[in-house]
Amino acid sequence: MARRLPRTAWFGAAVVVAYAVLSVAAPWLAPHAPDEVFVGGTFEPPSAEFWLGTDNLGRDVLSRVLYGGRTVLLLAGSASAISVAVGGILGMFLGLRRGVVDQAVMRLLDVAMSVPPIIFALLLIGALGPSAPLIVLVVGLLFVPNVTRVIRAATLSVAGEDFILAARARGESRAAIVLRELLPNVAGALITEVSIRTGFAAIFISGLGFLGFGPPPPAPDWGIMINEGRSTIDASVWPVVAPAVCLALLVMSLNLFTDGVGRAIDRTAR
Amino acid sequence: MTRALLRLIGARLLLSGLSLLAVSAIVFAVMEALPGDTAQRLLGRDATVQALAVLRAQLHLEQPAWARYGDWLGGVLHGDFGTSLVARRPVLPYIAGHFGYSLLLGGLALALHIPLSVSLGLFGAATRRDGPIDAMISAVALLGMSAPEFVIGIFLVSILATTLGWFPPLALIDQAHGPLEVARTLLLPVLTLNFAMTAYVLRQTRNAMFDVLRSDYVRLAVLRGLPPRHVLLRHALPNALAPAINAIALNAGWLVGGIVVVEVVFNYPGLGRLLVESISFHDVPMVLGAALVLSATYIAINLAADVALMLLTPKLLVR
Amino acid sequence: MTATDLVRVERLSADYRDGAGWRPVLRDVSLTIRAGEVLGLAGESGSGKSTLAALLLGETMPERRIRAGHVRFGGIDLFAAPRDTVQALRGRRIGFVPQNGGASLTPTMRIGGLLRSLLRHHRPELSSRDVGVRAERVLAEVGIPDPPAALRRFPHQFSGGQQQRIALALALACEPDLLVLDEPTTGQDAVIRQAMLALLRAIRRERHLSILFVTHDLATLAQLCDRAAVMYQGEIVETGPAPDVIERPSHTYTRKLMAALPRMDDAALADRVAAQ
Repeated sequence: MARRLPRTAWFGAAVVVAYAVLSVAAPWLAPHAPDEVFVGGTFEPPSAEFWLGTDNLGRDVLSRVLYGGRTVLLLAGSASAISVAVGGILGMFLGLRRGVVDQAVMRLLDVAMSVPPIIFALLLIGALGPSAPLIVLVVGLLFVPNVTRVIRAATLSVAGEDFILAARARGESRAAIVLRELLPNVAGALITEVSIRTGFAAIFISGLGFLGFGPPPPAPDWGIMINEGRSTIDASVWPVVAPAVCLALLVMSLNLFTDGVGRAIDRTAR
Repeated sequence: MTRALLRLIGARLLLSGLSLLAVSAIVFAVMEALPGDTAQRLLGRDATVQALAVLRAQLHLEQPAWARYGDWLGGVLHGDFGTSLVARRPVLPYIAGHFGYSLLLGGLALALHIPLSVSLGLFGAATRRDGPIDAMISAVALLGMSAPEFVIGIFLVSILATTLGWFPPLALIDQAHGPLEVARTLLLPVLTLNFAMTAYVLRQTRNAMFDVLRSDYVRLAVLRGLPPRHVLLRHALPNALAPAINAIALNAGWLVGGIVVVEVVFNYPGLGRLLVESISFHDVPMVLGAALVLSATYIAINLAADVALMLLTPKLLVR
Repeated sequence: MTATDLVRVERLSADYRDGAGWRPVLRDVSLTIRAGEVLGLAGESGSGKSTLAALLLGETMPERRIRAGHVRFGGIDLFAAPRDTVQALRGRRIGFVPQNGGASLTPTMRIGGLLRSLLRHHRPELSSRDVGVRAERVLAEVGIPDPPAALRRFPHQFSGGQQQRIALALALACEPDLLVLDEPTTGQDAVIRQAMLALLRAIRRERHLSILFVTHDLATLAQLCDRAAVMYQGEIVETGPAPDVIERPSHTYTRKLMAALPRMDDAALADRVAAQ
């Protein structure tokens, strides 16, 4: 399957990997500490010392963007991992089990999906106070119904196939069937879901940051940076443009990857 | 047929009602889950014991949570959303006023979005598949999907408002005079919302139209000698519309959340911004009311979309 | 061209485009259909018989091009005539029934809407009452029970066999001179196939029209057709009176096609259906 991935998907994957490397290496790469204030150096244009200039408090934009990437990747990645882990297991379970339990859980998920996600997140995070673990948990759980639906559908489409029936006839345990027969066949859907949900989570978490419900300082979240920079965009565009472009590029790369994997799976299925 | 339709709508209505009830319980429960009680948070840590006691009595905090939920729900059903803890006045007029502005913004955004994206999609179906137009649409769609609406909004503001000065950077509609000024304040938020929504519907409509134009029934309509106009309007369009409406419904649902962010970007006095501000002020009755109305809107949009789809898809309607 | 020739296909060659490029699908095909005659066109899938059927309606597609030759219907050259002229023939003087009749019915339209819009377009002189009467009559003719109720229903509310009959009704509604049937019985079970053939025999008894009956099944030809033509790789390899072609095939390919399809069960079934 990997050989059939379109070039755009490889590009997307490469950019995401680059983001990951830059984020891990942020402490060594960043020329300054993200919250180091250079007195009298507010709204500096890009220079040899401050490659992307400084913000309204005289902090180095490049360093803040690098550290902000850490926050976004870590939070969005964790939220996506939670949603795919919970939704994946639930979806496979319901798809294999079916019956009354399946119907009941699906109706419950329908009700859960009738709350607009952003409002639910604002309520919970606003009530409990923004903290990184809470944001990850809330965003991760918000995506669970969607992931469950997708993985359940993928499970249902292979559950009736001969190799699953044969495994059942051989008397293999449910665990063995899931691990050896089902998992390889829904792996594509799981990978796509991780990629989709990471992109959604990155936008969602930045949006929370923008609305003032992001992870608390000193973690420089891109959404928070954009919100802080927008009121002084006349003085300098860099504090807004840099995180905005980074965010859009990250999500775009994830979308390219998702799209490519989806198309490769379609072709394999045909 | 009409009876079958009414039954289906009735079932969906019932489900929507249940959803709304569940949503109200969830919203109330979340607010209940706050650490410390409302009185404490409202008056701060230095509040005297007496002051706290008085406020608790005022808010009926001595009652169990389920009883207060019942009171609140009963009040809501009678149009009484409680009293704002910050403004010390009834919540309902605030919510009604802000909701009106949100409806105006969201309605205008949809009023532009639906004809624009559907007609672009139909127009696009006249061009070659996998051609240059396709590549362009894919690129714009990718951009629309990847750039969050607050990023788009800020860029539109900094280019069209701050740099060029064509539009006001903030949509202070409550201070605008005359329809022309109102339109000017609304244009940028409406554009921002459309930028995020258009590409998706355009793509769905175009793909649906491609499939329909290649279908047996359109081929046969032509081979039965029917004029192109009739084939397009009676045979092709109604069948391409269902996927388009599905996509529009998804966008309309997204709009409920998207509008919250866009209202904050443009300082627009809508329900979304009221919700965000009330959460910061811990104004519980206001938060409850705003969240409930926004959720109800979300549920109503999904209901309307389902009904529209049923009307367009005889297979769902008559068995 | 004699006065009784309704259709003349003259040295027709056509290409079809697939992933690899243009390849010939019809090679130098000539064919006539006389007024009131039923011509069977047999051949395996890919032999070009469906393309020939579509070209009798002058259908154009981006993936298809005419290299040489003409198709004349009642003296009109379908590839040279203005588009409106051809479009006025379709549905009005030439009825077409595709292989999958069900898929040819627009899912969002009621049967009444399909029939009435067709009649109104081709027969503008009819009053709306007459349109309704004709719509009911043609449904009854093809054996749809309770026509007034059927007009109010959507295509998906009928069985596959009934959908095929409705497609036939649409082809017959405007009283055409030629009926082109592109494998109308393929994919149906034996009982439904025989019922359809019996219906077609009845229609040809009642109406004075010509039929081109395309099939890959030589055995059905014998039950319906006056003359038969056999296609192989885009060429007509044999043509003649139907019994001769079936019983004394001269071309090796026809012999092979016959040997592959000794449908005794069908013949027996036909007798039973006819007896009912």
